[in-house]
Amino acid sequence: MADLTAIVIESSYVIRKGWTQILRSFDEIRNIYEFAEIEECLPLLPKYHPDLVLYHSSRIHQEIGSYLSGKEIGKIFWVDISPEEHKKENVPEWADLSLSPLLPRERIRQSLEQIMHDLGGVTDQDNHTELSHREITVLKLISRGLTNKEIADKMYISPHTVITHRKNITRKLGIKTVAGLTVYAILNKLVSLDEIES
Amino acid sequence: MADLIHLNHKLLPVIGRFGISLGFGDSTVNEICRKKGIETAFFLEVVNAFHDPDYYPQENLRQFSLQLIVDYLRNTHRFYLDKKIPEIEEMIEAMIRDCYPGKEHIDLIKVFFGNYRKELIAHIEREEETVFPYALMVEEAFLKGSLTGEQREQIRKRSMKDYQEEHDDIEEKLYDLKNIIIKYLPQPQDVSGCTHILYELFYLEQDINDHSRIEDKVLAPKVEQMEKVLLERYPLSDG
Repeated sequence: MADLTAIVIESSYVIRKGWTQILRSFDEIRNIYEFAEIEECLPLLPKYHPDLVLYHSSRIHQEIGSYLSGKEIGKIFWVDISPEEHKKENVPEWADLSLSPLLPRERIRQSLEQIMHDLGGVTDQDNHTELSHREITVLKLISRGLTNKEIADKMYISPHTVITHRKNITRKLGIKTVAGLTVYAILNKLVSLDEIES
Repeated sequence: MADLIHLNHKLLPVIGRFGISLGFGDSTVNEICRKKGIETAFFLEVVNAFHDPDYYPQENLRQFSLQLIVDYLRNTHRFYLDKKIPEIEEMIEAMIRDCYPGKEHIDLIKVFFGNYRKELIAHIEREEETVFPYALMVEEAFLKGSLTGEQREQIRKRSMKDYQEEHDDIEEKLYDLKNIIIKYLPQPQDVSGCTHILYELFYLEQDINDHSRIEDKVLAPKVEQMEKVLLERYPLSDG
């Protein structure tokens, strides 16, 4: 199961609740935070680490740009939810997609499904939790306390590949921390307690 | 007050943190607060924030002294450290005592939870030793209507926003622990122990989330607002 965090910024209470309601129906989304104004939300972005932000009005785009530059926030998928009809054709520069609240239900759902998919949501073939051989090797090394770099050297792969493996392991197992992964590895007899303590 | 608890029993520990105990008959919220010396408006604010995750305090509802908020947050910290955490630890201990096969598995859970506890303590100490004193310093300067050069420097160097951004993520370990118990822990014969622990973990997670929301949506905006006014009003250092 994917584990996405979404933020809805919309000053209209009714519309905000509407978007939240729709987002809630997606299993991929774990956390949804709501804000009326972008100013309230910006300082919290580094903390919430959203994958997806729904926001309207292009007025603020400069501010977003300057705020985000140089900050470790990670990739955010911005969706423009301005109701203006004319926005449909040209997506504003700061947004990855435009989604007017005036669109029919199916269009909105389809677009959101696509986004979930792109953001690493559940797909049919991807839905098993079985770890691959490589992933098990990485998991064992993580449990022994090796860093990404050390694991990369040991396995003759790039640190980037190690990170990808780690992401997949976390997604498949639903465990994020090293301590948690270690417990999993011991429970499944992938490593012994002695190996960890040494 | 009784209606309030009937409406949402999860508020029970919240009223406990205000020092309100059960057996209040038909007293209203206002009566009880007055008796206990609690500011009613503040009590309502906290209760609302707990009850409705989308509740966003209005400007005029943020008019409480920071001291009040900080005291409440400190009480909550005590509640976690002195009550909830030992309770869960005791449950884990009981499981280790009671189950014959798979003791070593529960031992792992114990170690893991011990690590979580350390993290939580470090997090709480950071807040109590740096964030809260800073917030109170800002309020003091604001109320006094003066800003020393030193205080100015402090705001400049490390404002509430910076503190917010340093906020470490203490929820991940809890999330992992829940998943380990739900998905991977070989279940002992008597499953009620695991069920209880899970209930407590879900509860603790929820409570910590609500607690953070008060920090994020009540404390931080209020401090930031005062920072802004202070820096505007006293652009040059006067001492």
